[in-house]
Amino acid sequence: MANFIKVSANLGFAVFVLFIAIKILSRVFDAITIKYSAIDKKKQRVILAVFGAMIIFWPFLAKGSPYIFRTSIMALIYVVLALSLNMVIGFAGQLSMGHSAFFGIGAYVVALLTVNFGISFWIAMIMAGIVTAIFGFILGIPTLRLKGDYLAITTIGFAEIVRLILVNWTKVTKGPAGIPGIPSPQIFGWVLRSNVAYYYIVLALVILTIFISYRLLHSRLGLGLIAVKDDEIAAEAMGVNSTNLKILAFVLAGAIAGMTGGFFASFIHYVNPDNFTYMESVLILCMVVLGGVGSISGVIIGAVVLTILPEALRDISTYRYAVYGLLLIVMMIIRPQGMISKENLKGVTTNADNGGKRGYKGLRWFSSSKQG
Amino acid sequence: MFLDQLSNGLALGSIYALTAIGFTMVYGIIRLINFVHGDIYMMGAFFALTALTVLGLPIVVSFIIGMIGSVVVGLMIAKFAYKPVFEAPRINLFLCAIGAAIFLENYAMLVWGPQTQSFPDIIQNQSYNFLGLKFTTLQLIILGTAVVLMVILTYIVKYTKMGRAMRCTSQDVDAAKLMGINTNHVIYFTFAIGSSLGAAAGILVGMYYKAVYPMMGFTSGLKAFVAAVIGGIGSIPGAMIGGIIMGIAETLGAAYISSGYRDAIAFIILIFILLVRPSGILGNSAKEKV
Amino acid sequence: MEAKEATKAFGGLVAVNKVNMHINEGEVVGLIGPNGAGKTTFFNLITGIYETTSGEINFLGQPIKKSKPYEIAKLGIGRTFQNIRLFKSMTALENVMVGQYCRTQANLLGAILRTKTVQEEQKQMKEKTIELLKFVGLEDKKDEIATSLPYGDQRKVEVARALATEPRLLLLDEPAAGMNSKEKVEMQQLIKKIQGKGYTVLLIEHDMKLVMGICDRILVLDYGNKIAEGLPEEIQKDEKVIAAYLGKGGVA
Repeated sequence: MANFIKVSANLGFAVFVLFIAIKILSRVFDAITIKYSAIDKKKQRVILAVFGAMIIFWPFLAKGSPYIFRTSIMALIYVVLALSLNMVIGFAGQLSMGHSAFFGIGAYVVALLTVNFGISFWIAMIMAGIVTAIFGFILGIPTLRLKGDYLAITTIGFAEIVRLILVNWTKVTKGPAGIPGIPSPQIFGWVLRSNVAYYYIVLALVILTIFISYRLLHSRLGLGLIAVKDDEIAAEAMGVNSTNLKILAFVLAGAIAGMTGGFFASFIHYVNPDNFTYMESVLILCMVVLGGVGSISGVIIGAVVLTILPEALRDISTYRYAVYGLLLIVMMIIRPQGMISKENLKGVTTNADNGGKRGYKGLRWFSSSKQG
Repeated sequence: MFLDQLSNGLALGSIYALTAIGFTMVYGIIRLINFVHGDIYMMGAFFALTALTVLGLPIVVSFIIGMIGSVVVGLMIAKFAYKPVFEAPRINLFLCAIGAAIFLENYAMLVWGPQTQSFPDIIQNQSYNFLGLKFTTLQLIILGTAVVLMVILTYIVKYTKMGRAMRCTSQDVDAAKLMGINTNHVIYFTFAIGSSLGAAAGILVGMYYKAVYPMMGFTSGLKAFVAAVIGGIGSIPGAMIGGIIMGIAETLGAAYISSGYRDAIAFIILIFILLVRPSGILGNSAKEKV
Repeated sequence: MEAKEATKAFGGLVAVNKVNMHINEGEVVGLIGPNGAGKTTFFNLITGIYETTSGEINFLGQPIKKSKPYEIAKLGIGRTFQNIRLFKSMTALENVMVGQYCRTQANLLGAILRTKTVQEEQKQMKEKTIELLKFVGLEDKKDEIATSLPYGDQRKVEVARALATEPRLLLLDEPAAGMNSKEKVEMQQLIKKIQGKGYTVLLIEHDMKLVMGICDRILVLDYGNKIAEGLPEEIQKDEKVIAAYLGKGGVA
């Protein structure tokens, strides 16, 4: 009984803190994004360059603490995962909640290929990307018929089936025991064992993913994807093949998440099914929602914040998943568009003060399903 | 062997049916897949277990406490997590439901611990032969409770004023409002009924498997959703039929294919049904107007 | 384009019943009828949103019964919607650019590498879009979020978006609905301008002045049946049409 009261009180307090924190953060990010889009391109580039340099030289800045360093690598892993999920949710507007499945499949492909067959990490990682791309295609098929919440549940089902296979197919996956002893990558005989090497590998993956996201978004395909997200019927009537685009988003996102999974397997040298549960998918989803669905910079911030914050608040880490649940609710209530809302970046300040008002703008997903 | 599995499946199926009704009712009223429903079911089981073991209350009283506790939880979620986003796109509401579900699962873990707790043996099991099937006392209790609750529910929906208001609201919220129905009351009432049935199912399943744990709602919730979809979401008789089908399919699948994949069977059925006939057996599909 | 006995039934309700029609290149044809006459359903049949229950619809000599909406758009049928369906998170410019989607080729690899051809294609896409916005008179509003524009302008963006698909046949679904008289005049001028460019247009409209003013030929639907077809003057005098609009007793 005492426990019941203690937990309830703590979580009640967490709600209060979340409300205040999100309100303040919304204001801060609104101010920053408006300011940022107001300054000229040259200065923007300088700011970006400074950030870029900091990230590139981070291993030398954070050398003192292996713990901080490991956390940074995890943060970058989540950045890639969140960015890839953003391609499905933010670009194509399909609510996928099975992203951990791609991550898991990729990790297991690398684990099995390197441990059982001694295949080089790099080839295994590419194989992981190919295999998860195929799974992305399979998962993309339901989107032809299902929308919104129905699709979400189907993707949860898919991810659960994958997890159950990992647990039960003991002949291959060793079941709950997992697969230990996954080797580090090698380049020309050099074993890249140090965290610095891992940092740069995952950083390359991050840069590649940002690059692909950006180029995709600013191409005709990106335009088509956003059109499908905004109004699928109108998009089809304008000649946009929504089927192909949605599957493309799933395939691409799957491949990237799968390669990240492969990297993760090599990084922690051990995989087991517990790393790829439903909660993992929810966590990645929270990152996307917190940062701002569809916004590349927002999703990066969301991923970094949600990896670092629980580490910083280790003492209360048992509460972290409960707080993620609350975070989703509070975000939907006071800031559904996420921290970085796209309007601000475009310089259109139509709804900058949404934090204070009770007018809900929504994520503008599946808008068509709302029209009668 | 087959007949044993059939009676197992019937008992389990009636529990799924009870849970599925909650899904179907809430969906009928606000078009929300109430993802938290499975966790309300889990909360019900924990409340009843606590009342039974910690407070030492008799089973019937504990059962009722479990239901009341779940109703409170369900109403709080409807009020604080759903009400503020009723007007937003439906998908935001769904994310709130996901958030609430995760919250409850972890809340239960924090309060009662992540490990499985055993539900005490309170019923002396005997076997009965009935229509050629073998039932245990517990199975008969489960079936009986489920039938009684479903009869009560059918009476409420069909013959009371609130039931009529519920049916109106599920057809057209705006028209119902214009006709002077307080749709907010209807929505909360629906959540209350759905939660109480969910809790009953949770307690029954706790008794059946003699186990209660925080994540029990996740898979059962999904399975009940599948049952609701099989029967055509929004249709109460459909949910009952869907629940029975699910229960039997699952026990037979677990017995003849592999028990490790018991849950996977439900998900495969889910994906298959959603792709082939998303409107279910008794439902009719509505296409978007252009 | 031609329709042969095109029929669409929703359960027992026959929304479009054995409609025959034919549109020649360069014509502006009006499709009128009381509310619920099946006009929009007919549009949805042509654009592949619904599939005909029986009968067929041919476009440029090809049957389009089994085609998906995007394939039909690519064949050359562009449309606007009765209840405006602009892309909400896009600017006017981006909205119109979507229309160009089916006339461009870049694939994923090209988009990521941004090759010379892709760059060239994107440049042309943008130029064409701006040209179209100029054509409908919205060039100065190109960077505004389309759905925040005034109602009349939103309709124009939709028209420009449909034109961006480079249609051989343009379907306008009540382009002047809900407009004030000034906006209506503007819309009429715009349709005339489109006509002047040689586009083939099929127009649903309730505003008789507008329809009579622009259309070469008019077709009247009532309860899914074609009840009249002819020149604007003929339609105005047609007794069946008057009866359909005013009720049977109205012809006195």
